[in-house]
Amino acid sequence: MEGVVEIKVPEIEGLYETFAEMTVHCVEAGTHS
Amino acid sequence: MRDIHVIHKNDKYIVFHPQSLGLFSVAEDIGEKLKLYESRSGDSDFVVEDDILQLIDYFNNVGKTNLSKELKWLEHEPRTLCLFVSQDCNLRCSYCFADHGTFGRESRMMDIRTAKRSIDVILGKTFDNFIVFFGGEPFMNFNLMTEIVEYGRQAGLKINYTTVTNGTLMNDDINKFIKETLYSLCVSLDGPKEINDIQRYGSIESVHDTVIETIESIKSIDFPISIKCTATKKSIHALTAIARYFGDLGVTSMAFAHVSRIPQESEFYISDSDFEIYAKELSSILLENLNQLAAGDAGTEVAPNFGILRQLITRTRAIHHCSAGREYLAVTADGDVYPCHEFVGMDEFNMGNVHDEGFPGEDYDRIRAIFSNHSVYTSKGCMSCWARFLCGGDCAVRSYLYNGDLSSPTNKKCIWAKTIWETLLPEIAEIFQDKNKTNNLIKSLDAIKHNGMYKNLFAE
Repeated sequence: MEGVVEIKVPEIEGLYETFAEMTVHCVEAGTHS
Repeated sequence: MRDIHVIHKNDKYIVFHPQSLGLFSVAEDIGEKLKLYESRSGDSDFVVEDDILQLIDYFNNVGKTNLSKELKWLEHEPRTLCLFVSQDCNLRCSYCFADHGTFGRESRMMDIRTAKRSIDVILGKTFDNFIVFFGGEPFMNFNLMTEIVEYGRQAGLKINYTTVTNGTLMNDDINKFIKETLYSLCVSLDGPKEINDIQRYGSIESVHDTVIETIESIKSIDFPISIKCTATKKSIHALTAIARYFGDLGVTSMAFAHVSRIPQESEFYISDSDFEIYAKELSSILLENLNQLAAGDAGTEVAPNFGILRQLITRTRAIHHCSAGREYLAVTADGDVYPCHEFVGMDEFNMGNVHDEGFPGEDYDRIRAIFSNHSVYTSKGCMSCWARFLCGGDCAVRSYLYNGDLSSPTNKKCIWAKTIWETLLPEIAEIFQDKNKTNNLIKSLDAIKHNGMYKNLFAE
């Protein structure tokens, strides 16, 4: 559409799996990555 | 619902589409029209022009082709245990929400019987599990940590171990244990000596100096180490300098948390207006780190930059703040089970005791159901917020303590989320429009995964 550019995000293999590998994502628990 | 958000920064207009976590760069005239639409479309006297409706249709249609997915921690059975191996601490930090681990009761240590029982009745046998050794100061009960690891090994369970420590009780045996057993280590440090030692102290002369020795010793064994910094009223103005200080220490990652659960009269308390300063400082730290990552420098990650980029790139909606009460549970030294480490001592959230004959029983199922059912879809404060799928709502315990229910976000969390996202999204959009920066960023994320805090989880 004129005046609008969709920002394409790169595809990175294996990035999603880091969600599953990490735990609670809590700074207080020291698991914040 | 006005489900777009326009960010105007440095003469550029970025549109964020929450449903798809998509970003668009738009021309000035379109940006101004969409800003007006975003702010006024709920007003009865506001007429939405056809060209704006076409734009909204366009965003929605593009969004449908890039549909985001939900990060559903509730699909997991419990697999992360926060074990209070020590409910005592050798420090007496000024802002500790846990009364140095005791939660207002007597000091006590977990025994192997309780640890074994926790593992047996909560963790699954068919998937990877995690144990966070917690306190108090966990290394005050180091022997138990070694016994738990041995038990997990004998039981044939796949358990990944980590801990958060004050970093003042290290020795060669502990360093060996860290290297051979943990996948990461988090050490508390609030900044340079003049800041750290006025809020973190004990019977040792300088907590700061001792922690610096610990960081150096952990680095010498080539182990990923992160710093957890608690920001207080006394340090919020110096956060940028603190972040650079941590970066100079060469740690793998750093994360900032603001002090909470302390009285308003405390000299460390951060008011809502002071919190805006904190959020802006933190945003500028994250922005600087983002640009470092886009320049190919993955030396030190400032959390949650990796998580933010991962979420946008994988188009993953956060619908919960965290996995507390579902995938993540905490067990006290006595065996009482809570949705997370911050609920300890709140009787209404006691899910039972691992030694109870009927555990897990009705309270366990009831409280798990409560935590499974609240999300940004059910929270009135979140359901129409443009940032809901980026932030996932507020910490349940803070919502409960300050607003009386588990899902109403605190004002501080909303300031935190919106300030950070409005700072970072335009920069991320710019990076993704630059091939070199995007390639550098991809390399940096890969380096964080394989050499950073995830190093030991993804070791081949």
